[in-house]
Amino acid sequence: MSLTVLWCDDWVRLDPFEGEAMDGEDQAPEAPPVRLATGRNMAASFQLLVGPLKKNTGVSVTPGKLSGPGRTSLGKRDFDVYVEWYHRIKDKWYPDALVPQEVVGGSTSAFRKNAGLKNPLFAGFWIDLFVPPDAKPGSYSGSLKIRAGRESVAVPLEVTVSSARITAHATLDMSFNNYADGVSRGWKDVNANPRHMTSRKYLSIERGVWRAAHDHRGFIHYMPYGHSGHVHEGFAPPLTGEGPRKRVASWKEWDRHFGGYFDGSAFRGTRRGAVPVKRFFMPFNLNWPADFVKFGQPGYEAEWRAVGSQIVEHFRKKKWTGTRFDIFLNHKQRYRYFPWDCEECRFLHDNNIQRYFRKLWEGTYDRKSTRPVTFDYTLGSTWSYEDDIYSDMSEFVDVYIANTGGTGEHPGRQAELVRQGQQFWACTNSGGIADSLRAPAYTPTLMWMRDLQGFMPRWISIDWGADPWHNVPGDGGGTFFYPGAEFGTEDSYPSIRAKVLRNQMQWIDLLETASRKRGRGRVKTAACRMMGMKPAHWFTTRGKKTGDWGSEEAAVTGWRDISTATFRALRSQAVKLASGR
Amino acid sequence: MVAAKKKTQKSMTVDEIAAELAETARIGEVFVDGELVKEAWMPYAREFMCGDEMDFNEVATVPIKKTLMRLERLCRVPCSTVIWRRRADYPDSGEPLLIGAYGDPLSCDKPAGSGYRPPVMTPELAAVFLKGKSRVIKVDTDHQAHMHVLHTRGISVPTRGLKGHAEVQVYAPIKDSMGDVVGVLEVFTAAIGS
Repeated sequence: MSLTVLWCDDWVRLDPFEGEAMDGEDQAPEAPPVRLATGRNMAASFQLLVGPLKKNTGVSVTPGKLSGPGRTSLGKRDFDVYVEWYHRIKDKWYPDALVPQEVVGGSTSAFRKNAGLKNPLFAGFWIDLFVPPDAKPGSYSGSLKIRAGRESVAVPLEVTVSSARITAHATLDMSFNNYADGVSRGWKDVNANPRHMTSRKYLSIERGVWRAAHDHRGFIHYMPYGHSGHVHEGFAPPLTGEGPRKRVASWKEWDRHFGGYFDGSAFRGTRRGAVPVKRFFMPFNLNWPADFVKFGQPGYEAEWRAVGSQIVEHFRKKKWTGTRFDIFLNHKQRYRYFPWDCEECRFLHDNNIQRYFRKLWEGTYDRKSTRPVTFDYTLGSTWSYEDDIYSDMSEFVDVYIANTGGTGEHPGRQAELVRQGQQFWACTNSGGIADSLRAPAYTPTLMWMRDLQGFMPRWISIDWGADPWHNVPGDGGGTFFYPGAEFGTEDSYPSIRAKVLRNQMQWIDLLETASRKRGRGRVKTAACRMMGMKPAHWFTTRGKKTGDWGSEEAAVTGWRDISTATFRALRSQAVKLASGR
Repeated sequence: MVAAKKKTQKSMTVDEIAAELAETARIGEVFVDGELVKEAWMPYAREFMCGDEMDFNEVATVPIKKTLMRLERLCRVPCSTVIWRRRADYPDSGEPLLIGAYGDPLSCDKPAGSGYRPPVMTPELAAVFLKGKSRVIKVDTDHQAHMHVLHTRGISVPTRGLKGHAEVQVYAPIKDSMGDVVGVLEVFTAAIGS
């Protein structure tokens, strides 16, 4: 049997033994040519399935030049080729982790064997084509060369590039939430060193995963302290003195660690470019910068304000104005370090700790005290969300991170507070590896349709366990990136679900581009009509009560009601609307 | 806390470490208020059976927490502290009540949303709670991964004459105004050997 190549778009996953679509719904691989439609300054993704594989045969993909309108072209440098790694979940083999082809030299027999695949018929590849912002709109065509052992075939590729263009700025904040120092767990040698967090290798691998998230239009939102209030080494500048004389002893190491994220230089060379990280968790907590032994006493406030004024002054001097800096009190009673649920308050009197901190916040980090640098008072609010957004808390909380159900219950109040400058996020669930890829695509769609400002696709994003390559933790839904330690590198690699999230974020950015021209209401109505819905569909109005999480499951599985064909049509619509046609 | 300067900890033997921890436990026995320990949970939360039901009484807990933090600073070796309690509804239990800088291997687990059972008293806790011992010392080598976390956080002492790592734990009673043992103070550190 001669070498066969099939292709599919980013909604489809194909079984490596039969070549069949795993989700099934509106999905099937096709014979070439590959046909794509996209805007500019964005990636267009597709997959190739190559087989039948012969034992000990390596397969590789070599992109060629695509000729466009006039004498323009897209070149090899505009492609990223990944080899798909398969994970065994519930007796099926799902592609999820994507390993850059240049790292492993293609789908080699050693690569497939390492994944645990026994005699697969096909090798899978994920390919991103980045269309530069200045590409000329029109049709481009060319081919990719597929080589398997001594055989090779050319796969024709046709791309229609519209005039629509997105910027490096993502409309929605996509927070890949994590807890320091989860990153180091992917590299056993790093984790074994008790001082690893200031080591060269740690800083390199941390930067790698931040760059990977950045290139997928999100950011690593990295909680720098534990429930105990312990700030990990290297995650806060050292302090000296006490009371009003407390101060930062040196910024040198902290700036070296994090400064590149705030001025964007850490992201130089990524597809998205050297733009600052959107948000950053500061080390502020019950025991930093003020000493909890002084809690409730004048010295506690004095220490908070003394260090605060230094922080603001330093950030202004550094011109770190492209990042929003969060205070997020993450302490919870169940860990037994402090007597409050500082986020996801279960008993309403616990919110008094927020009111205590409001007094410290005002005059230190509120808007008028920090301009042009931005600090946000960020609150995780689930059980008591319905109380919090109507209470005095709404006078000072800048960002609410609620559950998915909660943000669907109060559109009117949310819109009112957004007009005052407040922001709303949902910490949601974007499905596991065995779920349809409509699940991650649904998340940004839901958030935009609800007029939210951001989201966490899951409460954790780099859940690596002991070995995510061979035994991904849980349903895999908390593993959006994979550590390159498996292949001896210090980089982190994306999952297919991170790619789908990124792609959907791009289409949302196109809808937002269209909104700036036509008004968001009109664009939303047009998009919903095409999807067979009304804008109200995205909300629930059954009057949720405090402490009731009943609507959460329905809210996060809404993707089941939207077909792949509908998602594809939404993308076409977004291109049309953003192109002004 | 992230300190501007860190003292270099001198190497010690396990016995020397235990003596320092025991001295801190002795002081803690006097300064941790047993009446506050009894009041640490809100009345409706004293018999919690999942994490969502846990609700501290901050009026009682904040002073205890501050005392634990002060004891840790007073100690001449880096250490952490835990207060343990017996539950009226589970008399055989030895349950962590409040933690200072970091938990020991048995106090770190948080109760999940369901399925929680208060842990059964360890022999060391039973010796203090049930047999009235005034001081119990244990050298635990079973939890190497936990030792590594303590070491990473600076709660450790370089140790002579020890292969591998060990956790040195000292337990002392906390009494209320009636003289009854209402809690146990644990002071501990990771001994880092060769």
